[in-house]
Amino acid sequence: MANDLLSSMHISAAGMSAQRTRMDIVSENIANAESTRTENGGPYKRRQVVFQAVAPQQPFSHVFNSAFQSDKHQSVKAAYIAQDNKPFREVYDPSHPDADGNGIVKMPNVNPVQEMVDMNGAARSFEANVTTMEASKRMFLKSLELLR
Amino acid sequence: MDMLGSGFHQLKSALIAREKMQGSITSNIANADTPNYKADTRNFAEFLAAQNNLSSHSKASTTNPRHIADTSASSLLGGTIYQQEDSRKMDGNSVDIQSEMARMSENQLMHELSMKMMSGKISGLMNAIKEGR
Repeated sequence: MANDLLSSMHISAAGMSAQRTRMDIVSENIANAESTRTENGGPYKRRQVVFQAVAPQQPFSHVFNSAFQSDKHQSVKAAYIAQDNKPFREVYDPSHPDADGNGIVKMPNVNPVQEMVDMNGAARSFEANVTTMEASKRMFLKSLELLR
Repeated sequence: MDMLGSGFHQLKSALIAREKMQGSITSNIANADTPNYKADTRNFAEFLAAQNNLSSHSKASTTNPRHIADTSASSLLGGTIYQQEDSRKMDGNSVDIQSEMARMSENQLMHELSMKMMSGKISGLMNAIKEGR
């Protein structure tokens, strides 16, 4: 019985962690919006997180029970970090050390506005997960109050 | 044997169903940004029916399709129907975060109500055991 609430808290935690990964990548993109050099050579390429729904890690009893019931709730994880292969932004700046023969500098394909929108989305989704976790916790505490 | 009455078992099933429903809403909210995730839109009546089938204590089971199903529980405790909507997002995700939040609040309040009713039953029994002292 309590397993459902505990596993839902774990799912919220996984959601929060996935959203935090997304936030990390957004800050990385914003921080590197002007980086014209990387270790692999060439300007920085925008990165983005891909989420995936997965079956949550569960204790044995839950696995045992779920063999008899078919309600499996899905957790979430940041599956991988994809690179955005959009063309680089080209800026005319002959004085830049990384400018080519025509004075064109290739800047990262990061659009700060897009990153801001993504950041807001990550923050809102994180809050939604926090609210859910608080709700599950409150339900759990109410169950404990029965013992008093 | 049944000191607490059959209502107690109904409440127990309702509470377990509420907790399972909380799990389903949680995974919908956690996967609100997952591409191609399809929201779990089962309502409370379905969770309760599944729970009652599992512990067919206080509910008449229908073993023949011509039997009339006992719908007393689902008509008493909840029964809002959420319809599966087609995805409106580009990434094939069908979670509506606002409606999930609303369902979660409703679920939480109903859980609290069932919990209050249950502790009322328990304190009534305790009162009888202590002979009203």
